[in-house]
Amino acid sequence: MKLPHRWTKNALLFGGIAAWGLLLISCVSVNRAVLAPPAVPGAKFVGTKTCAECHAEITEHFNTATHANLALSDAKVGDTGCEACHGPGSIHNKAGGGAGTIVNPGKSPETCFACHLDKRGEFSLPNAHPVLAGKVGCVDCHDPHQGKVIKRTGAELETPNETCTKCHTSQKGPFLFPHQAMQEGCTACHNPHGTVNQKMLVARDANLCLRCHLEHPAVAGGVLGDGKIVAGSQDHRTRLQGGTCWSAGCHEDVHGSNASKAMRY
Amino acid sequence: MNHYTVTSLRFAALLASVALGLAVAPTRGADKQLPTDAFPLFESYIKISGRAPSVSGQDSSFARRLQLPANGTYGIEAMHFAKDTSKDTSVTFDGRALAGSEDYLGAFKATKNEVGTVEVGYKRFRTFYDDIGGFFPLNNRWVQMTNPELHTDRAKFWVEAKIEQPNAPKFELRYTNEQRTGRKDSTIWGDTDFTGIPAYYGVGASALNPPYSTARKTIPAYINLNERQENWLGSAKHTVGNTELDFEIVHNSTKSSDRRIVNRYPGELQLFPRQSAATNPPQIYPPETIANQVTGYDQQNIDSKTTGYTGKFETKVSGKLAVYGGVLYSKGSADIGGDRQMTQYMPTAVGLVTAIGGFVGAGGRPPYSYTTTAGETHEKVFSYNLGLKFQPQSDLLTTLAVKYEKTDVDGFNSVTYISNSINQTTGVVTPVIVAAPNLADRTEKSWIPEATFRYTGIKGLSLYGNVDYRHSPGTQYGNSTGVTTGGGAAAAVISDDNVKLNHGHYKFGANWTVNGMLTLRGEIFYKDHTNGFYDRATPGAGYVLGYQFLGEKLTAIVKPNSSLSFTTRLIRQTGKMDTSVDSGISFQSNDTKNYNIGETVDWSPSAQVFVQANVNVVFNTIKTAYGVAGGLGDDVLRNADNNYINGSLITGFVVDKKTDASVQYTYYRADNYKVPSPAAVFYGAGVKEYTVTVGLKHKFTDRIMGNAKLGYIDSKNDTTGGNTNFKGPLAYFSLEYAL
Repeated sequence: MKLPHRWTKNALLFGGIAAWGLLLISCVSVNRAVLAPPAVPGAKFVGTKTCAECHAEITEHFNTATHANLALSDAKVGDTGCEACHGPGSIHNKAGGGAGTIVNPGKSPETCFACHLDKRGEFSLPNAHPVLAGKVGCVDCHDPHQGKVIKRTGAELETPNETCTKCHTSQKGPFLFPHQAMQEGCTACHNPHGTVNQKMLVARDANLCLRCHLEHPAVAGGVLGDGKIVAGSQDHRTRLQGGTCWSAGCHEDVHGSNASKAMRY
Repeated sequence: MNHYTVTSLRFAALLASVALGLAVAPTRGADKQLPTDAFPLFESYIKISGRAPSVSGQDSSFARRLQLPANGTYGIEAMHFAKDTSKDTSVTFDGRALAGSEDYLGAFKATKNEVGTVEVGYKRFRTFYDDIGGFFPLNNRWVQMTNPELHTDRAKFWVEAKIEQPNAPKFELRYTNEQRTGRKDSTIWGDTDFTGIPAYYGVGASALNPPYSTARKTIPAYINLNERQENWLGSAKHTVGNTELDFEIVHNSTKSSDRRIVNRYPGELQLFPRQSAATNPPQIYPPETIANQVTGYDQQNIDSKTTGYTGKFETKVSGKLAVYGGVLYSKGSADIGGDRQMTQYMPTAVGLVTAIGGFVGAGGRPPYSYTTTAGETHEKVFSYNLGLKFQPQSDLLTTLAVKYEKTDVDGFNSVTYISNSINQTTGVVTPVIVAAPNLADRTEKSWIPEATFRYTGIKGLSLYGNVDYRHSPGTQYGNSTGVTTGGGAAAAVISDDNVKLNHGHYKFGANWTVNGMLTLRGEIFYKDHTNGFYDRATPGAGYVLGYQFLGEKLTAIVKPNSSLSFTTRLIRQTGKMDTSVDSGISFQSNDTKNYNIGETVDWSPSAQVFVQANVNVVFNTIKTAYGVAGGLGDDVLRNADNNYINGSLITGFVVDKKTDASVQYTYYRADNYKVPSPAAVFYGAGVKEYTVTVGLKHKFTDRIMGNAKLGYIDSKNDTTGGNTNFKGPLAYFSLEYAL
């Protein structure tokens, strides 16, 4: 399916602006409202108690949720704990439920972005989980209804990395020689919301590794005595010329290796 | 810009300004409730759509960026069917079938009120990649795969049954089968002949070994993914008196066989440019090495089975106190294997010699080809937690909990290294086979106390905090055998460490609704980690990493009136790391700073118009050894800057009783591109990108709605030498029909 290649960017840009202007003029004669997404046209707030009539299994435990820290009464609409994220629920309540009658942040991240502006920016980057494409949702990794929003941390039973390894099975292990950074969690090296670097890495070059792997036996005044960049008791300067540690420098199996303690393969 | 363009722009801007003024005029009536039902929400519907790009430039990069193939996509974007089959029974069906993007969904669910549900479904989607592993500024070499439009497919089948009767135990049975297959881009360790950049610099340089680093280079590769996992889950929940009980059994079977592949075909090599005799001898890579084919792969296999048992309870002792806790036990084992076969070559007096496996001996390269003959890992995890929820008054909630976790992992792996000894005079190759065993085990025992509180006793104010501290002593032992460049078994590398991990996390915050116009939120968080690995055989020797991260999140929501709001968010985070090795002298290894400033504006100048604008500006730098490293260190390292700005502006407005329109603009720029040392790949990211989209949504009848968008995208990428640039228009249409 190919579009004829005769529209230029200028035609679209100026055409868009002109169209916007012309169409705005037409707005003044129309007695109908338009709402910014996410929204349910015509719905009004009904309060959390109404939600609890059908969704008690969720509302019962909501006071343990991280987002309960935000569930303050709104001066304009009263207690809107659920509706703060799901939008006004009157139509949903009247219809007895149903898709499309309530905002579902599980289907669209727009609700989350209303407060988490930085995450909108990160998910818009070239290297990000495909949340904006609708293939992954915020709730696939976060639970807004119960417990911590960042799952499996602190004194919770499960381990944090399960959030990632439930999909990324090859990185799950256990490996014979694991990368100790996995103890810090996948987010030690990756920002799962998105970065400017490939593989959602927080740095695309050797700095990623040198944050932890920098050692020198003789340091004088904070300056490396002979200019060496030592890791694993070896000067890595010429090796760093090749690019990144995990490919050019030989340490390919960065999540863990079954054959090499230095994670070479 | 030519005269025509400037004139057009002025005219369009004038027209838009006048129109906006007219549109804003009736704002006084904006508070009046107006009908918004031009676009009804269909309970059951089918939506057919198509996307048609016409991109010039790198198609595969377009596909990766937009997750849309350059040839477009079409089909059923969404389908939902819901029907009450009886007074207390209903069924739903959700579907999707988009050809091109290979995005499919079919899910059926039957519900009988107060009895339970049965659900079965299958979904699949495609993720697009391009192969941009290799751009080398030094010789302007762009290396890409023969077919750069790569993709992987994730698929999931599930079947689930729930029994949920009132005042009775709730049961759930679920089976899922997930697959990830396809090919995605990667990089691999490789010899410099893949890139055309010479291998040697300075001492040792010769006609066969011309200048530049002895380091191997990152080179483009791809991974063939073949991953599958199955989960069988059974759970039961029940409430007995004041106690909720929850029991779950999960069995997981994971099979993974991923192969990273690198290829170079005759003619792909790019000659290194000749340099001036004043700075270097004018040498190029030996011509005889250009026309050969080089291939290799590295395959990792895992076949694991894990069964986990979890039991949880929560008892309400009184209206103010609840006790909760749980036990988890899981046991798993895995067959592990690796197979790495790298084809190498070496010039000799009688010509070029090629063989699988590395060369050892004079002029050889370390032998990094091997195959696994046997290998297993085993893992046992046992953990439990116990906690109190105490709510002495309705506006104060506190929890105190502690978790204990014991992890035991052990395993072995026997590999056979494959190398070759070469006679550089006769060209005769003699295989060198070395068996090398590996062994490892580790134990970790963690205690994690945690405390939280939330207080809402002050009107409009919520105060909260969370502290947890993980103390994990343990041991780890590793015995790894390798091969020397001479072709013999290297002495085993044995590590036997006491491990101490201490991780503290602290968070405090406040949400304050000052009034209807102003909401303020603030949170401060602090991380303090120490990871110590102390050699048991040599007291005092070891590796200790410490780091501290401090950050703040500040949010302000300002609503001057019902039609305008500003949301501002500032996130600041700084971190430092230090390492000490053996000597005990601590050295700062990392200094990180991150500032994220975001702003969103929502504006409805009239009931018929909305405008949403948002922008994110990020300053991020990671400083490691650069700045304190001298000599060659300065040549090979820079601070890692990850600065960027991105944002969007969208406006939607009513055109007539049955039509809405929208205009959207997005922008992204990252300006961190740095040419590194001559022999290395690029550092940072240098991208500039914008999109413009104009859309119309129209209700044709009470059962049919349509949506059409026309957009344009322009993306320029300096980090790949412009080889992944693309631009062009993109059209989208859809028709939604009420069933």
